Amino acid sequence: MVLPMNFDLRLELSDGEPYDVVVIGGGPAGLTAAIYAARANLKTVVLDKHPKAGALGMTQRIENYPGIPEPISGAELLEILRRQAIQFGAEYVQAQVTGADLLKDPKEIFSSAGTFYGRTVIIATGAMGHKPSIPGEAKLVGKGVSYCAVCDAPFFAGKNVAVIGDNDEALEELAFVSRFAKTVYLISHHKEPKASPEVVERARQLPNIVWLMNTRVVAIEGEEKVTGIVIEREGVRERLPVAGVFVYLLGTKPITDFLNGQVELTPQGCIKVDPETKMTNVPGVFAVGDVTCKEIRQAVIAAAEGAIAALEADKFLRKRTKARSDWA
Amino acid sequence: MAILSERDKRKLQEIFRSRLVKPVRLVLFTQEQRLVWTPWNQPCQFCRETEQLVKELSEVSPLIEAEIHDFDRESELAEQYGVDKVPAIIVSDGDGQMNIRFFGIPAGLEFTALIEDILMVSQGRTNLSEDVRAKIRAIDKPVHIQVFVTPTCPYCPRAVLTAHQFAMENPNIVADMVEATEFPELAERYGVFAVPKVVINDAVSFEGALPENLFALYVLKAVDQLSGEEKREFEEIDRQLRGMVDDWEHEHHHDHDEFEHEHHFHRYEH
Repeated sequence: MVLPMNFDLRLELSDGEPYDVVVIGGGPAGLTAAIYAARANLKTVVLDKHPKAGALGMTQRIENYPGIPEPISGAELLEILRRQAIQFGAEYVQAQVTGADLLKDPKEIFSSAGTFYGRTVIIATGAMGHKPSIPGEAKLVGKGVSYCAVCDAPFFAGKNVAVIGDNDEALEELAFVSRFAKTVYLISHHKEPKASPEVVERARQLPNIVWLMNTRVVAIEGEEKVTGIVIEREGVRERLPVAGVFVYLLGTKPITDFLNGQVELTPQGCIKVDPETKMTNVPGVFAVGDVTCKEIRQAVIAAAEGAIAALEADKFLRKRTKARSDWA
Repeated sequence: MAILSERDKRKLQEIFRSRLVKPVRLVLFTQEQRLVWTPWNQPCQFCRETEQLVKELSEVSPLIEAEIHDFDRESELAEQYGVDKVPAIIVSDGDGQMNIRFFGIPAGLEFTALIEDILMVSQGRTNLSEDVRAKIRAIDKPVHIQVFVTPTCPYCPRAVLTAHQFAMENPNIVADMVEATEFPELAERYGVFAVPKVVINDAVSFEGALPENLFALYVLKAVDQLSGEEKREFEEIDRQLRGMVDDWEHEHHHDHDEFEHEHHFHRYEH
């Protein structure tokens, strides 16, 4: 079988020069941390999965952010914060963080845009992670259930697959899946897709998509591999044979998978931090915003925490240089 | 048509000029185009492109040498090197080190892994932490690590590089990148539906890009060289990786948590 493979060679080689601060996450917490860090002359980079991802990025209207009297969209507010961070010299890179080695010095952050090295790391990935919740989903991860279309779509060449979800990420990955699969069922429980209009428009152009709106997936079936899904609309259930299921649902789980247990979490799965400094149990690694689980989830609170972490990171870096010169 | 873009070529010239130390030999096994193919003798999908890539890389720096072999005509040599499929690239120091290998074309994001490997072999050192290095060097049994990838998988190059660094540290370890779509029977045999998937000595496997210290525990497990403390650590990690599935299964989540989430973000709009 000839696969629709392209030969783009992607050269994502770091020069190995460490940043003072690597910020993971481009929401209000991460971007404010970058504003403060860059303004303190720290070499700073923000790694952001998608400019419109996250709780604020998806908010239609925000009216209570201090200093912004006119109602604007969350995406617009983020655009302003991004501009402000870049203005002070922070770099902004759209990249999916795939892993980290936080025990090394400098710490290593692996991403779709290569490896980034940081003397300190600020984790601000939010809490919109999805926890397997469809019956059969958890059991079949790696056996047809996938959360990474660009990784796994080639395994379903010429087969029928389902994509569950309708946010920007889901619809952008849909294009990649459709290059391989025979038919793609796009399943959403909303009446209209939630993604931005231009992304929806592009997805609508794809030839082999069957749009199943107002529809839920109530089960993923299969023993050794996925054999099908059960969908439901207005009380009617139907079985759909598919070989693969790409899940792009959003949830409320703190996004910590890429840490592989290197940072201490609470039993609820939130990153544990010192309430004063926002530092985790790993020296030089900070966590802010929703990933630390907030009683009140507000952009302004996330932003304030970002500022605290940046200033503490600065303090941490200074102490370290001072300690080094003391030994010398 | 050149495979390397002018832009990448210039970037590589710069990188190689400043960072290559000793010569590196790219040992390639390729296969000629043929007219007749049978089900048990399938055509090599990307041999031509891989050969072209290796040749072009060798033209970028005088320290990179291309050594090109034909898989069919030089089958004895292929066997001697343990090359059982094509295209195959071995990143060698030209002095006997033959355990860092790529099966299938290192295209897409794996191209970066190939370049990083060239730099590593040329500089003769890995970036592993002292602790992991010591553990890997202590392995005295043969280890074969296969890392299944797809060219577009952002999680994969790190898994490949970690395996290759282990091979660099210990001649008992042979580490392969395997581009899963080019070797579907192999992918099927190991049940690869998600990448990266790491298979060690056909005995131990895991999915995902683990940090080097955890990856090392799986290698030690495969050769039964875990110390008492490491065994506990391994079991904890393995339980977490697999156990997570159980936890999730046992919790009866009423519905998609998306609804719960929507409830939350409406709180932005007072």
